[in-house]
This record gives sequence, structure tokens and C-alpha cells, in this order.
Amino acid sequence: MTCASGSRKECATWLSAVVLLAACSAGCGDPDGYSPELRYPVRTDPIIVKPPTTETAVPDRPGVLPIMNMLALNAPNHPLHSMLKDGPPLDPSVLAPNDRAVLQTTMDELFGTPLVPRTAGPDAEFNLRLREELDQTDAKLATGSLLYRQHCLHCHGLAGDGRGPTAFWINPHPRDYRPGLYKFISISDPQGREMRASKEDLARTVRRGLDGTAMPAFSTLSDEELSAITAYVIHLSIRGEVELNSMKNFLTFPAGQRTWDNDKEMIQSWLPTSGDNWFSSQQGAVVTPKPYPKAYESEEGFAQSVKDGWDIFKTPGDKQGGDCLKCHTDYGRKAQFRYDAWGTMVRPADLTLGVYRGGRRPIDLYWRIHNGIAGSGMVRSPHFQPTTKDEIASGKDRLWSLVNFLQVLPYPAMREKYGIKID
Amino acid sequence: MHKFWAAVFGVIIVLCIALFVVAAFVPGWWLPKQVSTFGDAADRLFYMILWITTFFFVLTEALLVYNIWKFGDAKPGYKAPYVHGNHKLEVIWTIVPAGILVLISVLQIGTWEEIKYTKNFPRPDISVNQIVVVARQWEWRIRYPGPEEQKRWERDPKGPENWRKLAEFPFEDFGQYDDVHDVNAVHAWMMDERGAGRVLIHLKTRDVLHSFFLPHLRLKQDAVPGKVIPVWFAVNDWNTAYDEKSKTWVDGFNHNTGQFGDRNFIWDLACAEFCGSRHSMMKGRLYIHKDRADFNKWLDFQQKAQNARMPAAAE
Repeated sequence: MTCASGSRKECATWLSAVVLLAACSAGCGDPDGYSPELRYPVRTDPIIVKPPTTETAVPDRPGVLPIMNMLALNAPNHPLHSMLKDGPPLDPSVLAPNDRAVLQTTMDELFGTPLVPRTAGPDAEFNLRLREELDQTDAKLATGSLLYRQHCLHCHGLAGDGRGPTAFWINPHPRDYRPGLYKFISISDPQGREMRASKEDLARTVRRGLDGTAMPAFSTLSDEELSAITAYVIHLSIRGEVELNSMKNFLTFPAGQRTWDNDKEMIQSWLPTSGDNWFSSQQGAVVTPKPYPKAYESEEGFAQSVKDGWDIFKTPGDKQGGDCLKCHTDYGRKAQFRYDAWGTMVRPADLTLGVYRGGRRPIDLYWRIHNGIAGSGMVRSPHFQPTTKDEIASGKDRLWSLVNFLQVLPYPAMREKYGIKID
Repeated sequence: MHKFWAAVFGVIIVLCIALFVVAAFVPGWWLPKQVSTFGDAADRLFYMILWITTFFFVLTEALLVYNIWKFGDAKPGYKAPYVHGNHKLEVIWTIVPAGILVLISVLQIGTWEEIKYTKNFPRPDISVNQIVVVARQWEWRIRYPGPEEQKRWERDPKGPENWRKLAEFPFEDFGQYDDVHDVNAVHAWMMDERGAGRVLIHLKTRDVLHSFFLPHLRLKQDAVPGKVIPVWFAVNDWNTAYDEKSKTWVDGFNHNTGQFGDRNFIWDLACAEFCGSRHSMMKGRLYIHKDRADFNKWLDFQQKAQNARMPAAAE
């Protein structure tokens, strides 16, 4: 059974069988990873400066948002077309070639490649903090990068830009990590500064998913896998923010008018800016609610607090109320679509559905009201907590009343029981 | 040369059969552990069909190998005779397989009836564990009647039926105030001697077709948009217990050895209808508790977590 003894045809059959087998086994042996040549791409999509303030009853057409390039905005029927007149976005495609080159090399030095990601600047002490407080170790990032490729990339994109292949077809659109804004967080800055997210917040979002959006729960992943993914998301977020801020500098200061001498150092200097915010957003900053009032434990007390919550919900802001109906029109049933900080369309939640993206626990609702929802227009309202002596002495808590009202609102039987009429 | 090919086919068929025999003894190569009340009947049907197909596969392959061996080496210039066919033979090989198919279809009626006929579904009452399972790309959202609701059912025999009616509302998954929510984990308890612990699932989907598949229970049911499809099962074994280390209920508990992490006691929930790019990762787990008391403890635990008013670190 050799080619010499057999006919030519048989020889060809055997050869093709061998080639097929070899090709198959080579394909099977390919490790599930990135090519070493692959680099994180430098941003090309427009940087939103001022999203339109218009509201509409319908969401964007599928396949249109988020925007990929300025050209798309030229179409008069593009939902973001009006931005060209008032508050045009910054266009990364006009970046000078040498600026782009220095940005690419510096970013590669700071953040590595998808195969070998790293988060490390020139300051060794700062790098140590990144490793200790934000898990930015090389090993963890490498694991996280692989898991991200497997589970997250097709929506959130290679660079965490929220522009993966499926991003255009799902609504709400997947999160773009680069501005460093996170919606469902447990932390809040007393001065009202935008915070990032704690590692626990990110892990909770990945583990439990966001009900009512396309983000599923990854509850079958192990804690180690979740923490690797979390570390990698923080890596992408810091990377995106450094790139965003450097690019803004390049685009707003033309060559010759620059306020910095060395481009590389300017880019590197954004790393501590972003990193510090991530450090201060960790465990210590978690908002612990004021204790749940004793009076609300009883049936009458609870009924009263639900009524109080309803009042706060309806009362306009100039009468010390929450003015919630202003955006959550008709308790959210007639809420309009509007643009968020990422230039995608969102709608204030329909609170009669009982579907909560950030979680249904009372503590989740408390955090949403207290911390607001970054980038969406939902403002932070810590002032509903009792602060003055009189408020504390009254034994009431307006924030907990709102939470109790929201928990009752979706259920017709409960609304009837507590005398809430919304129709 | 043709003797060589006859030998190749002969060896392959022998290897195939050998692989079947080996698979039966290698853990994880054959059917997973069977734990449901109706799974044995389903397995019997599977084996019956397996034996019938094996018999005919071996028969036809043996004929093929024999004929290649016997008639392959024709002399040069030999012309093959033209055979018109054999009426009698064709009638036989049409009627025999048809008869076998009819036989299989008759033999499966009883099993199908037990698993899928609505008349055999448990009537919602206090002994039945009702669960709403909502499939979506790509997760299983799960909802149970809360502990208070179940306490009310003790006074109100119509309660379970009313809960079912609300659960079967097809459009939105409304739920009730004190329902307990979970994701990617179906909890139930092992059926006791009096038959309490049968599970009635109201299966829905929010987007596309999915299929609710519990391989260890030999149970599969498509979820169809706009429909609420009932599914029932009862389990003869249990696999979960409270783990002091992780402070929650963990599956993979082998109650014979008292050890966690036994692969035979990790029971998957999978999607068995291609539903999109992450279909293969749309997975959950089945947690079967020792008895109703343990299940209720878990339900209380889950509800307490759901009603948390303080961050976990501050408690």
C-alpha cells in the first residue's frame, strides 16, 4: 500500500486524507487567544461633547447607534445629525499622523496588547497600588483578557468601546467603558464628583446581569474568573480614559499652541488622574444607608411610609419633592427617549414593571436614588436622607419611604392595599 | 486492492462497536446519572432504539464488507450483470422497517403520555413546587412564590391555582410582590413518599426560541415566544446542602459520602435550541434539596438576600 505499488488515483486519495487530517488537528490545536501582533486600536469614533437634548417617543433605528465615524452624522436623518450645529463632537480621524503615532506607541507601552495586557506607568509606587488595589497584575489581566474575548467582546468591543459587532442591534446599547462612567454603583462622592465603580459593583453586574437589558447573568463563572474579568474591565476603562483625555488635548490644542512640552509625558500624566479616581472608588466609598426606621417595621408605619414616598415622588422640586414624574412620566409608562453621555438613547425606567436593571434589593433602589445613575440624567439625591435634628427626631426617612413606595408600585394588589392610584 | 478496503471497513465497524463497549465503562462517556421518576422509561426507549439500529447497522455493514471482499477483485474485461430488482425482497425491506417504526411509535406512547400529557401534570396545590422560568438571550430568570405566599396557601386552598393563573399570563412576566427571584439556578426538593415535591414549571421566553433541557432528568421542552408551556418533573435523588465555607447552598453534594464537588451530583440546566451566539453558554444548574424543610430554609435565605437593606459588608 505505497504510492509506488498503487495507482496514481489511490495515491491522491491517501494524500488528501492525510492533508485533511493534518489540517483538522492543526485547527484543533490552535489556542483560544489573540495574535501577538494585534494591538489595541487608537480611537477613531467621535468624542461626544454635548449630546442633543431632544426627546422622542421612539428609540433609534436598529443598526444606527452608537456612532462609529463623523461621516455618519452628515446624513440628515441620523439621530445625532443636530450635534453638528450645536456642540459638534471632536473628530479623532483628523488627528495629525505624528500625534497618532506617539499616542499609539505610548498607549502600547502603558497598556500592552490584548494578548499581554498591562496597566503600568513610569511610577513604580503607583504601579504597586494598581496591582494591590485594582488587581492589575499581569497574570490576572492575561486571564481576564481571554475570558473577556470569550464572553464580552462581541458586545463591548476589543477596546471596551461598546462597539462590538452586536452593539448596534441591541437596545439599550452595551456600555462604552472609555468615559469611565458606570451606572449601577454603590459609591458616591460627598462633593458630587463622578465616581468610577467599586470592584464589587462590577463583579455584581457581571454575576447577576442587568435584568431588562441584553446583559445576561454570568452566574456560573467562578469568583476567580469574575475577578479576572473585573480587573480587565478596569484595565480597559483606565486605558480608554487615558486615550480619551490625551486625544482631547491633541484635538483642542493645535501644534504650536500646546501647553505641554513632551507628548509622551502628557499622555502618561493622565494615568494617575484616572487611577486615583478608581482608587477612591473602592470599598471605603460604599454608601451605607441610614438605618431603616423602626416605625416602618409595623404594618401601619409601612403603609404611611409608602404614602409618604408616593407624595415625594409626585411633588415638584420647588415644593421640596422629588419631582420624579418630570422624567418618569406617568410613573415611567410614558417616559420619552433621550440621549445619555455616551450618545446613545435611553429612557427613564418604567417603574410599574418591577424590572430593575441595577437589582431589585431595597439597597439597590436606595443606591440608585442616593447615587443617581451616571451619564443617564438621573441625578443623585442624598438630600432625602434625614440630616437635620428635626428630621432625625421625627423617626422618618424620606429616602426609605421612596424605596418602599417603589417596591409596592408595580403590583396592582399592593397598590390597592396601600391606596395608591396611578391610573 | 479491494480486499484492503474491505478490511478497512471491517476494522472501522469493529472499532465503532468497541468504542460503544468502552464508553459504557468510562465515566462521562455515556449517559449522565438518571435521577427523575420518568427518566428510566425514557432510557429504556433509548436503549431499545439503540439496539434495533445497532443490529441493522452491523447487518448492513457486514453485508457490505462481505460483498467487497468477495466480488471486489473482478477479472479484467469482466462485465457486471444488470439486475433488474427483486419485487419480493423490496416488499420485505419496506414492510419490516415500517413495522419496526410502528412498533416504536406504539411502545413510546406510555412514556410520552406520562411526561407530556397535561392530564398527568400535577394540579397546583400546596404540595407542588411551582416555578416560573423565563428564558432569554442568554440566561434563565427564575421566580418562586415567596414564603409568605406559601403560608397563605395553607389557609387558602385556591391560592396555588390563583398563582398559576397569574404565572400563565403570557405577555409580561409580572410576578408578585413577595416572589423570590433567582437566575440560572432551579431549586426544588426530592419528592417524598407521599408524592409531595413534584415540580410544575411555567416556561416562557422573552425573545427567541429556547429549549429547557435537564439532561440528568431526561427532560427537554421548547420555550416558544408568546406561549406559557407547562413542564413537570419529580426527582428521586438530591444534590445540594448548605456549605459552611461558602455560606450558601452548593451543589455537587454526594449524600453517600458527605462530600461536595462530586461530578455525578452536579446537574446541569442547558439550552437545547440554538438561540444566538452565546447559546452554548446559556447554562444553569439544578439544585435538589434533601426535603421540603431544607428547600424552605433556602427560600428564606434567598428572600432575605433579596430584601437586603444594608450592603453585605455592613451587616
